[in-house]
Amino acid sequence: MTDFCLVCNQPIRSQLDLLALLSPKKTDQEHVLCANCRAEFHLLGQPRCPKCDREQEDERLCVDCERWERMYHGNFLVNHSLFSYNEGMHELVKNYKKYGDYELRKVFIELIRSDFCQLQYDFYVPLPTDPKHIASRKFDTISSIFEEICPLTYVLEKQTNEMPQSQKDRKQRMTTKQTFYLRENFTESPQLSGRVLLLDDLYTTGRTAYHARDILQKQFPTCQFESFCIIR
Amino acid sequence: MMGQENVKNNNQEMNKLRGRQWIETTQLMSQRSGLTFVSGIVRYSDGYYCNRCGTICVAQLPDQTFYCRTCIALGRVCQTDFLYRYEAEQIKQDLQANYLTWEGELTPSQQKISQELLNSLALKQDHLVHAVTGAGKTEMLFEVVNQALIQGERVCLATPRIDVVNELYPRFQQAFNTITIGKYHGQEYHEPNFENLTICTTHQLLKFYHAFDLIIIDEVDAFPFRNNAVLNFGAKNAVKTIGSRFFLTATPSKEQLALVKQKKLNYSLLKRRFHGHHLPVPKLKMLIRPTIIKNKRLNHYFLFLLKQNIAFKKPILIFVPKIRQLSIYREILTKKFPALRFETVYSGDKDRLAKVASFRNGELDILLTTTILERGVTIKHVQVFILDADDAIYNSAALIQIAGRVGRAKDDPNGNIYFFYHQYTANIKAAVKEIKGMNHD
Ligand SMILES: [Zn+2]
Ligand SMILES: [Zn+2]
Ligand SMILES: [Zn+2]
Repeated sequence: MTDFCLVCNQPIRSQLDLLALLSPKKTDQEHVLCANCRAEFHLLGQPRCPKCDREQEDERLCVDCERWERMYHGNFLVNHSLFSYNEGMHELVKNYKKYGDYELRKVFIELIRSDFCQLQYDFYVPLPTDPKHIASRKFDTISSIFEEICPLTYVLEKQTNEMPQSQKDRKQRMTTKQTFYLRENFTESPQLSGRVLLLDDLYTTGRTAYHARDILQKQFPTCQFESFCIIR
Repeated sequence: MMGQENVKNNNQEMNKLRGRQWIETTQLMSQRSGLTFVSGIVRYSDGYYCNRCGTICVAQLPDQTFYCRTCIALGRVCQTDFLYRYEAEQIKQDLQANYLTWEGELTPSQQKISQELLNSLALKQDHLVHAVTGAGKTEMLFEVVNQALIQGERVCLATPRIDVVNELYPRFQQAFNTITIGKYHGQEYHEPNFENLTICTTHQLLKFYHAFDLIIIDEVDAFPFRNNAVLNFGAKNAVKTIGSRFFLTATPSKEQLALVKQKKLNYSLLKRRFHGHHLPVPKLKMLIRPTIIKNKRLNHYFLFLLKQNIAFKKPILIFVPKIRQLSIYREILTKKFPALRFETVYSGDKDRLAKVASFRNGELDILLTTTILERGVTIKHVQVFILDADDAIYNSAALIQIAGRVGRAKDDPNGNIYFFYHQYTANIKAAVKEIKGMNHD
């Protein structure tokens, strides 16, 4: 059967099938990306910032993390990211979030699945998106991706924001106020313990992820929190 | 998307919407005359179809409702949405006796086709213009567009490529310099206004419903086959029930020629370029060894012919099938010919227009490109090399268009066009046959 690439709509070449035949392990996963489109997305290279995975010239703390170091007195939120925010990724994010092409979640899943599954944590907490956006898109952009590759624990909610994060500049993002709060019925959901991974799509300054941790750490002081954002 | 309330209440806003269709997530309260709606997605016995672009929908949202991925860039159509249409006729007033400010002259063969198009316009019939690359199609359209405007009709010129829209717009603006022409494509971030003459991408046609008396679709063959259905669906919806569609192409499809045979589509044939010379016939060069060896060395035969052409001191365009090959070829060629100036272009290249301009001005010697430059771009004295012409990316229409880049100038109607290949494909065969056929009197 021929599958068509979800990004360019071209048939996915049988070359891939041949590869799949040679390595029987991979055959159970269907492909949604052709080789050309796959090459448009770039894994982050080295060296990186030791705390947030930002790709840079050396392995020193990046400017953002220096700020977090001062602000949180060294209590970093270690972040893991896989892809750089290049043109191909920008286009994919636009089509997924702006146009609401729900089907593209499969592209993100195909891109991150194998690397993501190597990260082992006790709980996975998706960062919630603005309820207004969920209503117009009719899906949650973050949990739609992650619910297929790990068990999710829904602990956080988000207030509707006057100005979407994407329209802010760096400084405005840095000074954004806390918009997360704990779910009202979170006592019904399992309590968090051990190592917890916060999940988001894009890490720009880290403001959003640190905000989420602030709330959770107050409630679950014994947990260790880290974050995973697909794109850095 | 529209702001719904002010759309309904504001007459000026309403005027902009004449002949338009758009998506609303809820039903509008007031019903203007002329305002109708259908469901965004309709269920037929074999599946769910998008009412805007006609494609079958298979993608579903978490609530199991279908949505259309094909036309999503115009705003997502969901099963629960409404597609609103505003069909009100425009008021025909303040018409001029003439709109054409172009003062050039048509060749006798262009003149003949211009007349045939006027006849089809008068009879409200569809028309296919089969013309070689470089025939001067644009000039042949001026008179028929003028005639439609004089009668107070609404005209749309649509083409699949943004580059072609950008090239046609200034030429029409110059030829009709007393009117405002609408220009719409995916990189112009505004919704269509009401204009009597609109130039847009074929994709934008999906925003219109029973809007135009005449739709001219240029470069129909630029559309990959899979999208032809959407184009036809869009063009059929955008033209008025009594109206004409003109198709311009260098490679008519079998379906179109069948319609011509059944007399459902009028037909004009233009075999000569505007300067009256033959089309340059591609020189077929079969390579035994690979085009590129270990990403380091280029095929000797290709290099030999390239060297020969470099000696002519004319600009050289080299087509490669894949974007990622561009930089590799560039690196090798720069080492081989350090005295020459190279540049690369591809569809996502932000500096594309600037690079093409400097190539045209003689500031570059060799331009390496993907198929993005296959049409719409005219560069005098250019010599063209197609590497891996047997790659599936080159259908016969693309090969004909690329070959059509050569010999466009009146004072230099010849030139070299090379197809390099390892396998003699049906597409190469068809392209050469079509070119030779057009050259045969
Ligand atoms: Zn693809
Ligand atoms: Zn950092
Ligand atoms: Zn559609």
